[in-house]
This record gives sequence, C-alpha cells and structure tokens, in this order.
Amino acid sequence: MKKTVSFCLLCLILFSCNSDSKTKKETTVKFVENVEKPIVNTNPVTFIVSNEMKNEYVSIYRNISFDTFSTEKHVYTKKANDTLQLDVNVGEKLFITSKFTAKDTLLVKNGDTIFLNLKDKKITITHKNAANIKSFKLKNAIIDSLTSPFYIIDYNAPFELQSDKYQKLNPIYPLRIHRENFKTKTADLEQLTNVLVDNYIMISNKYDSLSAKELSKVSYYKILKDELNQATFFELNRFYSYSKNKNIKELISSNLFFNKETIDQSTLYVKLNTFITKIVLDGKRIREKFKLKLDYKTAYDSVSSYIKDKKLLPLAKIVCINGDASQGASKEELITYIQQFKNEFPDNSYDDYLNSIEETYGLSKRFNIKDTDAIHLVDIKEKAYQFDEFLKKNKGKLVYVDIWASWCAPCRAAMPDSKKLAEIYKEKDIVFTYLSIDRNKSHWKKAAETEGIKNHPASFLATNYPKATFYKELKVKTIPRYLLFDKNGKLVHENAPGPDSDEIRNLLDTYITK
Amino acid sequence: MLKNILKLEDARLLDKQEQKQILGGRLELTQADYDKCKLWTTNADGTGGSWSGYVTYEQASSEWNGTEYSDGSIATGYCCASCP
Repeated sequence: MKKTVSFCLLCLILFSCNSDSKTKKETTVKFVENVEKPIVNTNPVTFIVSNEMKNEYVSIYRNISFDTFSTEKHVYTKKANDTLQLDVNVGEKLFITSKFTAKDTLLVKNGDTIFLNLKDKKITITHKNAANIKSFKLKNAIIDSLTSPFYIIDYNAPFELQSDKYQKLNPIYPLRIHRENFKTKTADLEQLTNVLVDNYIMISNKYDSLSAKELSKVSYYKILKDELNQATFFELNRFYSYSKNKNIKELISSNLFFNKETIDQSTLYVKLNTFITKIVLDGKRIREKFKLKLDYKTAYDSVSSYIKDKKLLPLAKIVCINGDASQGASKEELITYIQQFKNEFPDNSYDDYLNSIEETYGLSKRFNIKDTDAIHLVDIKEKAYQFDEFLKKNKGKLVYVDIWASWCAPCRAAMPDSKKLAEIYKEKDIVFTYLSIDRNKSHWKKAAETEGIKNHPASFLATNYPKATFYKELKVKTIPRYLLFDKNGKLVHENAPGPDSDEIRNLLDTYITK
Repeated sequence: MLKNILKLEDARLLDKQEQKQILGGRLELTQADYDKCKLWTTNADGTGGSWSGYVTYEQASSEWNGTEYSDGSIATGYCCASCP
C-alpha cells in the first residue's frame, strides 16, 4: 500500500514537472533538418511455403507506408510448395495469416529466410535468423485505469466480420465513449495524457539503449520505436477528437511526434493520415446518404496551413489523394488532383507515388480510355481489346455478358451459378463473358482469382466505364447486370435474366437455334 | 404545416410495427431484409477495410453507423445491394 502511494506521488511530481514542457508547443508542424535516407538493400526476404491444406491460402500482409506504397500489400499462395519474396527496406513488420489463423506478427529484415507450414489449420513459422527482441507495451494497468472514465472497449459486442478466403480477421470491439467526461474532466484527461507520454518516452529510451547495445538488431528496434511513436500519436489524436483540448492538440503537433527522425519513420503514412483525419479535418466526416466519408478534398486544400515542412507537405497531400481514391473518388477528380499536385511540386521526386495511384485506380492511358464510342477492355495480362472486335471474333456464337465487380456482393454470390450455367452449355456455341467494372485493378485481379475466372479466356476489365456511350445508353448503373448478344453480335437482351434463373436457359435455348 | 392543414394537433408518427398492422406487411424481419445492409469498417490508416456480416437497416443507418472500434477503424453502413 505504502509503495503504491509513494509511486503515485512520484508520478504526480513527475507529471507536474513535465506538463509545462509538453504543453507549450507550436500548433503547426515544421522542422526539419533531414538526414540522408539509408541506401536500400535490395536483398529480399524469402518465404518458403509448404502448404498441406489443399486449396487454402497462406497470406502475408504488409502495412501501408511510403516504402510499400507502390507494391502489393498482400501476397499469397495456395500451392503445396511455393517461394515468395518481398523487397523490404531494411526492416519491416509483416503479418502471416490463413483462413484458420488470426494474423501473426513477424519482424523481418533484408535477407531473412522464413519457413511457413500450413497443416491441420495451423501455421508454423520458422524464422531462420529470428532476433530475440524485447518489446514493451505502451499501455499498462495505470493507464488503463486512467483511461476508463473516458472510454472502455466493449468486449461483449465484437464486430461480426464477414469471412475471408485469405485470412482470419482479428476481432475488433466497439469503443464506448463517455463524451461528457472528455469535455468536463479536463485535468484527468491531461493527467492521462502526461502518463501516456511519459511511458512512451521511457520505452522509447529503452529501445534506444537496447539498439546501441545490440547493433545487429538496430532495424528491428527502429520498427518497434516507430510503432510506439505512432501508437502514442494515435491515442492522443483520439483524445483530442473527443475533447478538442488545445493542450493535447499542441502536443500532437510538437517535436515529440514531428522531428528530424519523422521523415524516415516506417509509420509516416499512417501518422499523416491520422493527423489529416483528426486535426486537419477535426474528426469530421461528410455524409453521403448515411455513408460517412472523409473530406480529403478539403484536407488537400487546407493541409498547408498545418504542415509547413517542405518535405512533409507533399507527402501529406499524397495521403489525401490516395485516401480519396480509396474512398471512391471519380477518375476525373483524381486526374485533377494529380495535375494540381504536379503544378505545386514540379520536381519528379513523387512520381512513384503518383504513378502507383494512376496504375491502381485505372488513370493511366491504358486504363482510362477517353474514347466513348467503343467499349474498351483489358484481359488479365492487361492486353487491350475492343468489345466490337471481340463480338466479331465470336460471330456465330451467342455472347452472354456478366457485368460484375469485386465489391458487388450479389454479383459474386451469383458466380457459382454463372459457372454452373457455363458448364451446362459448354458443348454449345455460347461465350460466357465476365466484364468487371472495378476501378481498382488489383482488386479485380484478386477477385477474379478467388472466383476462379482469372484464366477464363473471356474475363475482362472495362477500361472506359462509365464513360462509354454504351454504358450510358444501357443505364449500367447497378450490377449484377446481364446482357445477351445473338450470333450476329446484335444485343438482343439488354437486361437478361441472371444465371440462377430458369428463364436464362429458355432464352439461350431459343437463341441458340436461331 | 401538414399537421395544420390536416388539423392533426395530436398526431404522432406510427412506429414500424403499427404501420405494418394498418398497411399490411410482415412483422418479422426475414433474411432478405438483412441481405441489403452491411457495415464497412474503414481501417485507421485510411486504406481498405472489412465488411461485416449482414445487419438490419436500423443498425446500418444509425445504431452502428460511425462507431469507433478498438483498432481505430470506423464503421459506416451500406444498404444498397451493389454499391462499393
């Protein structure tokens, strides 16, 4: 008891000593005397996979960062024996998962070899050069107790995640926020903030000293330190978003989180997104019907009032563009953004990021055809076609077109029926065609693989949807949508029955004889 | 205004059950009602997210809409059959 009281008193003294220095910070983010970026070692991390469960996936996920920006964040295999390689910039935290096992965290560095074995619904990970790393948690019992008046995690109401073929998603729980306390218990909130920051500083110093002692593990400790910094930053942003406490806002923008190391932090993308969400946009979301979206457009225009640093500002704007793209901004909006960005930052340092956005969201000329007269498509190997030519090539055959997208649940629910229908008519002159209107090319490819139509000879991505006159005339605004072309390539049914119906069989039987 | 025109000073809106009793329709929700709505949790890093299983219209439009989760993701409700 005595010890606890003494500890609390000591803590209070420490907090009171520290609070002034922490709260007197500037509200805009500016620094920086940048350090040279380390030379990227291109020796990749190798995963040797042995998979003893037929048709099940072993997946490796990466977090988004400015280093992984233009690469796939998810690599996977369902082969019995396979080797996957990832180019890692010095060190990285990865997640290993399957449909049966929740994400397992793995710290890797250049040149590592990892053995993964999926057997009896379990993944065994053998890391040949695994480092014995000490890691520390940001939160402890004291912090949890100080947090409870403000919010608690409701473990009784887990989010019911939809099942996923590639991974078992980790459970998440809703926060029960005591909004009134955020507004009224200012002293308690600032005390919690100071305890959290003190704990952050203490652990961060520990990582520095461990890193100095164990030089071979520097890259691992850097990842842990970056993540600790991000976790603290995120928590303070959460406090600010519910309290609007000015002292916390100043702390968020202080050199505790934005300093000469920031530009090289693996968590910079996530930190900037948090800053944009909670500070620049003040936690506000815009409502479209009842969908909630972040107003990245406003953030793009106003972020320069908050971030003054010349290297951070363009990166923050890249986060805005990418964020809006992932929320479904139109191709026209994204092209305007990118042009505006290029005018503001004319040097080519950011081309990789812009190219990646252009490629992912179909803005490159190959995927964003301006021609509206023809229907332009690409196949899985990204070879370009025109639908008219495709119809000509298949003259003498019926063409049944399934318009779908990776995000369209009913389209995907109908896929097994679509394949069953194709199987029934495989001896007949009918071309079953899959036309995706996805905006995100990699989402289309992944969904096509999952649905077993990746290598189907008539599986395409539409590259001028929705601009082509054809889509406008047919009012292709909702999917699934099915079209039927006769043997002369003439559209005979612009709203054909779905593959699960008896009507489609009658219709195909009728037209096949004509 | 409508109340004044129709002289409905003591009027109140009927709840869904009352509406169904008067106008007809089902009292219980069926799977078809759930099929239309899901929650999407946007990851805290602003990229991607996860779909929930089926939820009711009320859950998607109000009860869970905007809820913050332990990993920092925010839920938003979607109730059209084929929107992203």
